[in-house]
Amino acid sequence: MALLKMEEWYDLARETNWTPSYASEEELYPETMSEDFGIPLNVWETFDEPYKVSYRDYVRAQRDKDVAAYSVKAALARAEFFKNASPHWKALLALHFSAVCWAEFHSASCFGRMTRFGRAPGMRNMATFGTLDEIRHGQIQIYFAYEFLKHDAVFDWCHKSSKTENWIIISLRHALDDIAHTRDGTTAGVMLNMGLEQSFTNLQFVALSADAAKCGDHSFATMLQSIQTDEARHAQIGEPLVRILCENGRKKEAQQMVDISFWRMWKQFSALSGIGMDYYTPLEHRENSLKEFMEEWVIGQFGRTVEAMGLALPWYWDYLKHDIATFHHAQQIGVYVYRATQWWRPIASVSPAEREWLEEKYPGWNDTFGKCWDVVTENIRNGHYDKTVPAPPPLICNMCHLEVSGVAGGEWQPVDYHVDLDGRRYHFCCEPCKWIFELEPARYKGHRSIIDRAFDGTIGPELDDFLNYMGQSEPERGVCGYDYQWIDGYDTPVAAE
Amino acid sequence: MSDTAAQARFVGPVMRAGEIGEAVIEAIHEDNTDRKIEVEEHESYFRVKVEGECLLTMATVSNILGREVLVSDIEMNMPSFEGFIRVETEKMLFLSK
Ligand SMILES: [Fe+2]
Ligand SMILES: [Fe+2]
Repeated sequence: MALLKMEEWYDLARETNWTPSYASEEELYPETMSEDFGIPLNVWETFDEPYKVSYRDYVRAQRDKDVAAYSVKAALARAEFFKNASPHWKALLALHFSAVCWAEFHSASCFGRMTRFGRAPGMRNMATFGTLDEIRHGQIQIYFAYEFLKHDAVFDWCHKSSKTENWIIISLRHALDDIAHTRDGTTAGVMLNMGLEQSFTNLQFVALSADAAKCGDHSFATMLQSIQTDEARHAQIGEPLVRILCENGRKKEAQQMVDISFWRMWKQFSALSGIGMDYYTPLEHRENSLKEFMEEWVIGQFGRTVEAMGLALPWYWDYLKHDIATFHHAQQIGVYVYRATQWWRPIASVSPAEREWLEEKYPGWNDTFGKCWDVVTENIRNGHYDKTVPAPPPLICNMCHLEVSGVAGGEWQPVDYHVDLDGRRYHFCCEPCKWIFELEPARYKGHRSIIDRAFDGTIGPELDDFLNYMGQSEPERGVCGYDYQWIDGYDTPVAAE
Repeated sequence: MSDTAAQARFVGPVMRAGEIGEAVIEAIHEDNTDRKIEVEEHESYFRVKVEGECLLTMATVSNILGREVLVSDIEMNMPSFEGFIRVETEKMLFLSK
């Protein structure tokens, strides 16, 4: 018996809305979980999945994807690869897996909300597959990460990190909570799709796979791309949602959802992909700089998509173009100098050859961020390791929860964005982070940054108290990934002062 | 966005480097003969860019590979794409607006 083509039965099978008789529509779709923006149900029902798939085809494709990604032969080769990998790549793998694995489970929960509370049957269909995809992403990455656990205890953080109050984790959790977990299904659908999946996951899962392939880490490259083949499908849930909002007088709301979520995720990926691509990928294996990959995937591909949907580019687009060449360089300095607050072993990646690459990709780097590294370098050359760790804690942004940083050295651009509210001062790293806070102060004002917690007594006064609070026992405190030997690339040490 | 800008937008799949990826590049050239096509090569992926609109039919890819290729086979090898996608049993279409 010949099977019907999907198009011949799809519309009929999709009609799963009914007129409720035991519960009211408001009870079925409570506003906090399912905002309708005043758009009637019959309009939401016009949601037509751009990327249609039948359950049968879905299962077949996912099984084949898994078979390709999890082969035993690859696992053996992988353990061998890891043992011989450079501290650069080990730092990248540790950072990737400990930031991403549990975030995928967060995405699964968000898609679960869309599956239950989406107004349109088509949206619920896509979200069902999206939920299954995201469960897969969490599982496959934990599996790959745990293969390394016997060689390196840092991979314990793939699971553990999400349960800690480590400052980097607070930062990521705050952003994901904001866009994916404390929004109704419709809003979270637009925010997660547009702000994360159609824009930045391409950076970490496709662009980075090019670096991984150059490094010879083929199973990591394959796994990353395999995951992104799911994203490419389920992220299309955003297109009809944005179009329905725009066509029904809610363009302003849709624009704001994109502007907020995109900025929140940019800050996260700036640190994750930015440090990963421009510092942790070994120099000889770098395909492109973060700036170049951002221009290809985000400023380019995503920017064109936003405009073609009928929205405007976010108002801070010009500032973004400046930020892609600066923010992660400053964060990299912070991550290295405050290395004990990281659970992995940070890499400086500023040997003479690496600096040359940075200067070529980011003209002016030596005169700005390089000046900070000059000081770190001189201290290490003189054996003053303690001087490479600053005593005062950094200022943390009350929105992105990353370090407030400017451009150092020759073009010193200090930063001062703050809001005074209810007797206290909130600090921000940039205008967009401040703008998000001011849109809805009540939503954000109760959250205390890690520095707020140090000053209000939640965390004890000693460095040990701080690290213990962040869940870091002694062996879980970051040290220089090269034991300072990267300095060997410089001339013989100058005489100590 | 103006019509001319939409016209100039290049759309199409980003394919994993490999057998299916190569076949898709060839098929897109066959399925879109009148359009301007560019292929950008990266270490682990290719970006296929077709001016205005990009059609990819399963019949053409199947022909090139000498075996049946389904949209799910394309999906497995397509980590991203540019444009708005429309997927049916026998084809994928990438639109610029
Ligand atoms: Fe995912
Ligand atoms: Fe996703």
